[in-house]
Amino acid sequence: MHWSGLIRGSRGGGATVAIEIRGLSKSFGELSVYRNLDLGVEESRVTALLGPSGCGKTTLLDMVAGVAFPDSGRIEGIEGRKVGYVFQEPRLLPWKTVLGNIEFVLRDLFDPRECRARAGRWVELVGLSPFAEYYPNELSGGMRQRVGIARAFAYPSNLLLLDEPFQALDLGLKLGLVEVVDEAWRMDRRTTLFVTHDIGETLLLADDLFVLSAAPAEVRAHFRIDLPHGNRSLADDRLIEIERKLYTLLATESK
Amino acid sequence: MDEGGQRKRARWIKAVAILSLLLIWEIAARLVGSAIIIPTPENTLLKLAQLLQTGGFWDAVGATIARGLLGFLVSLFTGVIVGVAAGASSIVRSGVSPVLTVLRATPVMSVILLALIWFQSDWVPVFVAFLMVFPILCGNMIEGVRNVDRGLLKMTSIYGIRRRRVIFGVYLPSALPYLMAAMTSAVGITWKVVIAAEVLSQPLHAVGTGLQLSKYRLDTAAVFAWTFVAIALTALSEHALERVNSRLPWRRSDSGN
Repeated sequence: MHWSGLIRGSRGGGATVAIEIRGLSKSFGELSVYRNLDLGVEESRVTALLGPSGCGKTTLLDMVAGVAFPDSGRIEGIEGRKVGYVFQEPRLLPWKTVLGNIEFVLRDLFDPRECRARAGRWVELVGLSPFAEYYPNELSGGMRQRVGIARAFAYPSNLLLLDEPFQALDLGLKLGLVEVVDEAWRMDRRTTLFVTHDIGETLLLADDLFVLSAAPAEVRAHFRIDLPHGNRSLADDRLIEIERKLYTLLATESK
Repeated sequence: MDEGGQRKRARWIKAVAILSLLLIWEIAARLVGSAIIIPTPENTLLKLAQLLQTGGFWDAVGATIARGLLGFLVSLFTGVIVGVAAGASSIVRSGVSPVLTVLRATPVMSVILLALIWFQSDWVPVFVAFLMVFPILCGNMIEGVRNVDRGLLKMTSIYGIRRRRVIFGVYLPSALPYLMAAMTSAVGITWKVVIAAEVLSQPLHAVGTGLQLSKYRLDTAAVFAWTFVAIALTALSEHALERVNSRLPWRRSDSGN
C-alpha cells in the first residue's frame, strides 16, 4: 500500500514536535488530575488523548489553549499560537445565524467581505449551505455541532483543539461528523490535539494516540497510526489490531 | 382543545371580566346617585369625548408622553451602561448595589417633593421617572449580565475576541430578555410616577395637571376620563414592548429543535 505520498511535507526523519508538555501537574483541591505528565504533540498531525471520563481532558486542552494554568510544569510551543477549539457542546451565539456565528470569530482578523467569504466556504464544506441564514435553535444538534466545527476550522489557527466533539451524538451522526472533521482537516493539516473516550473516533482520526489512565492521569501507551486520512475504515485489519490492544489495555485498568 | 380554541376562550373571559367591571361601576354609580362621588360610565365616556376635542388635551398628552419617554430613555441608557459594568465586575457591583437598594426603598413622594424643591415644574416628572425606573432597569441588567453563559465567554476568550465585541456581541444580547422584562414593568411605573409628579408640580401641559384641575372643579367624570388616558398610555406602551420582544429573530422557533 502506498500512502506516504498522501502526507504532505517531509516527515522522513521524524516529525517536528509542535507542543511539548513537561512535568505538568494540576489539581483541584484534593483531586490531583495530572502528576508529572510528559507528552509531545507533533506538527501537522492529529494527536488523540484517549482516557476515561473525568480524567481532566478538558482541563488539559484549556491549559494548552492558555485559558487555564498548570500548578507546575511547562507547556512549550503554545505561545503566539492561534487556537481553534471545538467544544463538547456547540457554544454558538443564539442571536446569530450560522454565518454570523462563524463571522463573529473572524471579524477582528479580516475585513467584512473576507469574513463572509471565509465563513461561507466552511459552511459549505460542512454541508450547511442551505442553512447559512438559520439561527441555532432552528437546527438539529448534529447541525449545530457542524457549525462549531466550521467555526474552528474557519478561524486561521495553527493549533486545533477538539474536546469530545462527537460525544452528544448518535452513532450515525457521529460517523458522518467524523468524516466532516477528517475532510476539513485534510484541507490544511493543522496540528490537532483531540481528546475523547471513544475508541472508534480515535482510530478514524488520530495519527498519534496516547492512552491516559484515570486521575492523576499519566500516559499508559502510545500508538502511531500511520494510515492515510480520508479513507480509513474501522474494518481495516491494522486498526482492528490496534483496537484489540486498546481493549486489552483498558481492561487491565478497570480491574 | 386546540390552541386557537383556547385563545378564543381566553378572549371571551377577558371580555366578560371587563364587562363585569363596567357593570359593577354602573351599579355603584346608580346606588350612590351622585356624579361628584362616582360618575356613571356613560358620563365618563361623554367627558372623555369632550376632552378629546379640546386642543389642550392633546398638548397635555403629548407633553406627558414626552416627559415619560425622556425619563425612561435616560434611565435605560444609564441603566444599561451601569448594569453591564456592575454585572461584569464585582468591584463595580459592590459600589452600585447599595445605591440601587436606597433608590428602591425611597418613597416616590419623597422624590417628588425633593424634585419640586430642586427643579422647574416641567422637569420634576422627568427626574422622578428617571430615578424610580433606574433601579429596575439597572438591577435586571446586572442579573442578565451575570447570567451570561460561561461557555460562550470561554469561547470568546479562546478565539481572542476583542472586549468591545464581547460586550456588544455576547453580554448585551444575552441580557436582553432580562432587560425587556424589566422594561415592560418599568413603562407602567413610568406613567404612574410621571403623572403623580405632574399632579404636584403642575406643568402647563400635563395629564397630571388635567387630573388636578378636574378635582379642583369637582368634575369627577373628568378625573375618571384623565385616568382612562393614563391607563391607555400604559396598555399601549406595554403592548408595543411585547410586540418588539416577540419579534426578536432568534426566538423564531424556540419551542422545537
